[in-house]
Amino acid sequence: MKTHLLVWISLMLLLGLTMIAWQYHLGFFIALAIAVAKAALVIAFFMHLREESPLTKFMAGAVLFWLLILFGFTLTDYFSRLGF
Amino acid sequence: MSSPAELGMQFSDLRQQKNAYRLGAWVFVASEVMLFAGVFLVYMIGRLTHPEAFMEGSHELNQLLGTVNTGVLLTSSFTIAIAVSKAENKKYRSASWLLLLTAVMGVFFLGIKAYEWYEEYQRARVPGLNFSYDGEHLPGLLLFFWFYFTSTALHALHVTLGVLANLWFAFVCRYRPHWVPDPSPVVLAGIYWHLVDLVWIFLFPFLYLIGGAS
Repeated sequence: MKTHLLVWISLMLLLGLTMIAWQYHLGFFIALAIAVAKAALVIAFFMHLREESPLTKFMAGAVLFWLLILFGFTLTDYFSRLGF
Repeated sequence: MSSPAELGMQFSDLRQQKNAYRLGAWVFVASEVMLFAGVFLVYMIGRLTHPEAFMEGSHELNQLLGTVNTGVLLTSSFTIAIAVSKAENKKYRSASWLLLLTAVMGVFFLGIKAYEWYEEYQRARVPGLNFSYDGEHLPGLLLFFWFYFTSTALHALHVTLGVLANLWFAFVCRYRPHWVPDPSPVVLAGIYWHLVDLVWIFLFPFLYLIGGAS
């Protein structure tokens, strides 16, 4: 209960922070970093992934690996062809 | 042979049962993440190829309502997290109220989202329905609004299913607690709701916060 409350307060502060960053044009990667931080809090504490079995953690880690393939390989293609 | 009432006949002990439930839930989460990852990939390419149009589209959205909705969804994740820990301690009555509260917040989110869609409809920004724009950012702006409506509608569908799941378990916890001698199904409803929250955590900056305040 206490942990959950602290996590909720942190999430609200991060939401405030992302709006301040937006006001001052701090850029998309700051917003993305804050989103990742929020997601990490939700996954670790609200979804209790920290307490799951190694197999379940492996499953969750596998998603990140597939995301890396999906985005990484697509970006390699676009960056090499469109000349960004 | 004696076994606790909450143990399903296909499991040898409660620990195995618990792990099987959670592993199944995370396999489902993984498949949902891949579904939304496809949508986000389209976004990434759209934005790389039409940066100015995506910025203009983002500025046309209602940042105030988007922020309020993010706050609502993050808070509903908090309430269902408490609901789950209440259910795990067999406090089904408080779990039921918290699940109901979470469902109400989900409906509130959908209401705000529907109002935003109505605003965009009034400004002729719904592709396939009434999109009309004669500025310099075609076809990028059209692409942005295709992405906006596809992603928010797919997300809203998930919110709707989550609300139904929360209402169902609010009912079960209140009136049929003997149906959930093992609280794992409530835990899984919680994991699903957090997934819905996670998707929005990323959709919010991707849609609303491109390029800073105008």
